[in-house]
Amino acid sequence: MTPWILGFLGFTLGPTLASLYLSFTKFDLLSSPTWVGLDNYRFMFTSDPRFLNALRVTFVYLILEVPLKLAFALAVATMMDKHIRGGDFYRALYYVPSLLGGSVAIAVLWRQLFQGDGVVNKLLFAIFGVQGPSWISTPETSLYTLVILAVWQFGSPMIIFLAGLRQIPQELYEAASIDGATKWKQFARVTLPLLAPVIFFNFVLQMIEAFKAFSPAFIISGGTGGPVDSTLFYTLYLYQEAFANFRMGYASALAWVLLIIIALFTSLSFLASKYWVFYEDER
Amino acid sequence: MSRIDRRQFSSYGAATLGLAASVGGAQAQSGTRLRCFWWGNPERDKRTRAALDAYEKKAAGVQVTSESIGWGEYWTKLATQTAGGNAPDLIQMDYRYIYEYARRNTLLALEGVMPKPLDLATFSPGARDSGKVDGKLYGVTLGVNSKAMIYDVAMFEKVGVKKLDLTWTWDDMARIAGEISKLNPGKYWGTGDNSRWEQGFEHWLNQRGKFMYTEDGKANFSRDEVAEWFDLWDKLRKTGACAPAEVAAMNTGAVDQYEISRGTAAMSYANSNQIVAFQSISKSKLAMSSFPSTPGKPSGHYIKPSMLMSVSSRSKSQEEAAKIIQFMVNEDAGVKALGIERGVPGSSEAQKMIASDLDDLGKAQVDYVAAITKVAVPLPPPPPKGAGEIETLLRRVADSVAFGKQDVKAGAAQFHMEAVNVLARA
Amino acid sequence: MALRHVLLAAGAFFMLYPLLWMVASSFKPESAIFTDLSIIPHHLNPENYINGWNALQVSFSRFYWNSFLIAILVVIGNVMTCSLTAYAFARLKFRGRNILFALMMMTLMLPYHVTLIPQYVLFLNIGWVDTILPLVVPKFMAVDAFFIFLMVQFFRGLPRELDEAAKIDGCGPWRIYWMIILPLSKPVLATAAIFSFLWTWNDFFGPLIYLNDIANYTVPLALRAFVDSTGTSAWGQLFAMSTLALAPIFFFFLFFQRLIIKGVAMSGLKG
Repeated sequence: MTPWILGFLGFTLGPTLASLYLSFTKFDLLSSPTWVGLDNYRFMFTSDPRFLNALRVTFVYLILEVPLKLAFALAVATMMDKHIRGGDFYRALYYVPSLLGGSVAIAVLWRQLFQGDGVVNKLLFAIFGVQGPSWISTPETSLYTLVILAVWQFGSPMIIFLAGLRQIPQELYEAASIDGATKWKQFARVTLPLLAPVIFFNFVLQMIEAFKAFSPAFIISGGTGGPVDSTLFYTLYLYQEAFANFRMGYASALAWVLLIIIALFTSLSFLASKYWVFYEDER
Repeated sequence: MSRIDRRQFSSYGAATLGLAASVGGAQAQSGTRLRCFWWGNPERDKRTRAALDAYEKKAAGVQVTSESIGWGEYWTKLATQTAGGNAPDLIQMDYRYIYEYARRNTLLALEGVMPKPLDLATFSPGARDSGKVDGKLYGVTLGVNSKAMIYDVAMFEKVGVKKLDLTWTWDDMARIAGEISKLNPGKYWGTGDNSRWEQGFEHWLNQRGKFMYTEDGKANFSRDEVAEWFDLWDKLRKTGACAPAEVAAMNTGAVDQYEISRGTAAMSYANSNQIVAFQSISKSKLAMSSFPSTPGKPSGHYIKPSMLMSVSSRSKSQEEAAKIIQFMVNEDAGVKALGIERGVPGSSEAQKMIASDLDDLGKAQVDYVAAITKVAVPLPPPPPKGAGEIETLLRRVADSVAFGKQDVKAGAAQFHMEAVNVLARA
Repeated sequence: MALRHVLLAAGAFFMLYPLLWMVASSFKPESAIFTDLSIIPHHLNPENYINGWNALQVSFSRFYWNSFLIAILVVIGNVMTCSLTAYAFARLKFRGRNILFALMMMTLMLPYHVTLIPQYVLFLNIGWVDTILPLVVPKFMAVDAFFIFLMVQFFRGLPRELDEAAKIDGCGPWRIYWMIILPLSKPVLATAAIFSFLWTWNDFFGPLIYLNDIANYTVPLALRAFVDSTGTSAWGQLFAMSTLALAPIFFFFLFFQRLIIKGVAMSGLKG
């Protein structure tokens, strides 16, 4: 416990409080901050359409990305849990997209896949004979290409699921199969309940991460959030305000509003978890 | 934080991580140490390091550490360092950002170190003054450029245009672009969309004898003018001469995302020194010319710095930093090491020093800048705070017009209104 | 079983596509990278690898060493201190536990961009800027709430009877942590080690802010020095070096994931 308290006090608390203070100031990075009271917050809620747009983009992304990614991660983890030949190999391959993370290579690749004459459209044409739009540069579809990117990088929750699955005692499955339970029933009655703490962890963390999603939009839109702000994620907007438009004070206010939103959703998740997540140490 | 705290913290770190502490951070060397920070690529990295090495050899006891990163991350890091009071001694500056930094007193006014050790007598007045903000010099240009239209030579030849000169007009552009678009309908277009590029709009205003901003930092364009600009491109889009919205929106402003780099159009609008970058990733042979002209009107082109070198106002070695700049822009070894990689040198003497080393693209740049210099309009007044934001604003609004989300008039009204708001808020 | 293999293999192709493309691109001439989409290398000319390795004024061996050192130290720091903190949260009863837990979760929620500058000023005052200390020392103080929370969730999955039994045998909390919890938690410790290593290896923002001299750069930082979005970029070399940068994390992953899979024999724990 002590190291955490020390670390928290030493490295986290100070900067956190500093950002809270900055959110009540006008701070252009290069000269000293000046106190402006609630001005930043007032502006945000009364006259900033880009703030509302960024919220909307982030929520759409979150609602699609989190369940899809978790479903993929859990499905693949379950498939790989049982001993299969080449298991190591598959796990590593499925982790490759996540290894690439937010690299420049991914940015270049993604734009090439989803551009007008990109690989995706060539496939669509070959299979269905339809000509798709330039997915990545059309405001109506660009966000979904980022959802696909995020879902495709499902490696981290997959590994966490795997670790969780490894902690489930094999005898429970054996007992269940003696009772004549099918694979599906075993999954529903043994795997899911015992995996609940891990599912809960992945859910909460993926949700927080989705609220804070930054690098996919940043690298792929070249930091613009375009076209027409269709991929302007909340933290991307915050970043633009802080470092491109020299409004660190306003950016700090944006950050604290986001923190409150995330805290709200996280608390709700924790409250709801009482009804579906049961821990071994509570039995 | 008091001194005792500092020492305690440091010893804690050193004790737990002796190994780690031994890496980097060796500050305790004798002599003068300076830090030089620039954005770039391996080529620029090597050249700049060579220049700094040559300087170190010449000035005993001086050591310059080099820091370098790509354009996008450069400004985040520089802002953080500056905010922390730890800016590098030598800072590569951009024409757009120098105002932001100079007006917040983070850069050194160079008058104090001129004419000795820094002597810009052989600079053309335009090249020298391009580093001025509000009457004082805050940066020395490492190279000059002007806006340029980069085009695909083979495509132009296919429609019977051998070589462009500075007199070609907007009508010529519409005609040539229209013909090129017909060569490969729906896949390849005559021109990229310039309506969304703030510098394109600025240039168009300059041709009408206006600057984009007034001396006191207000927007110097009307709603009608914006509408006229949008309308110009809307027509080109409708006739098929200009690439459609979804192709234009691919262009995020990075060199590799321009129409001419992606092989979707025969003309893209950029800066003259960037032709090297475009050529390096293009399969076809490229050339450059001026933006389309309006007969009887000013060219709209002006000579501006592609990159500047500035000195931090908090540098402890300002004199030495000035000497290094002097070395880079005036002395044979420094000038030759840097070459034309950052653009055409501002000093006529320096231009002579590198003349024999130039390749074709280098010569093209020198010739282009020389030709533009003859027809150039005066340097606009410094952009106000918030000008950078207007660049992203124009891209966003122009795109929404191109995608048909609003018509030209509504788009023009939105851009004008938001631009005024941005400038008022900055 | 066969179906499972077919599915997994088909999926693997989609997963592997970017890697194939990246390798192919590292062999393409620069003018083809943005227009040629094939994933089959044209000619196996290694010059991008050779030139890329020495493209900057310091060679990549230096960047690898810097990255490696930071990543290993972070792994050690995270696994040691986060597991200890997580144990306290999961098993010990103390006043203010819930509030501290909520505070810890909060540190996950604030976008780091706004704490960047205050943090930078802090480390500047300690004199750690341009060393690896700001990237490493905090990890020895369990600042990574992600891992604490992860471990709490796993520790809580261990039956409490084990602790009780040990307590009766006279074990204190330290011994329970060391003799019971840790050995049973290999999968999650391996998971934390993997993520610590991978994320630190790939981390870009921290090194960007705290490391100045090129000689102190990490691999991802050096890679960004290849791309100048306003000018010429060395794309072929970038892809070559990006491919090589994957190797260490790939092998680290291969090795440690075995620990997750081997895990522990849980038999006998359940009555």
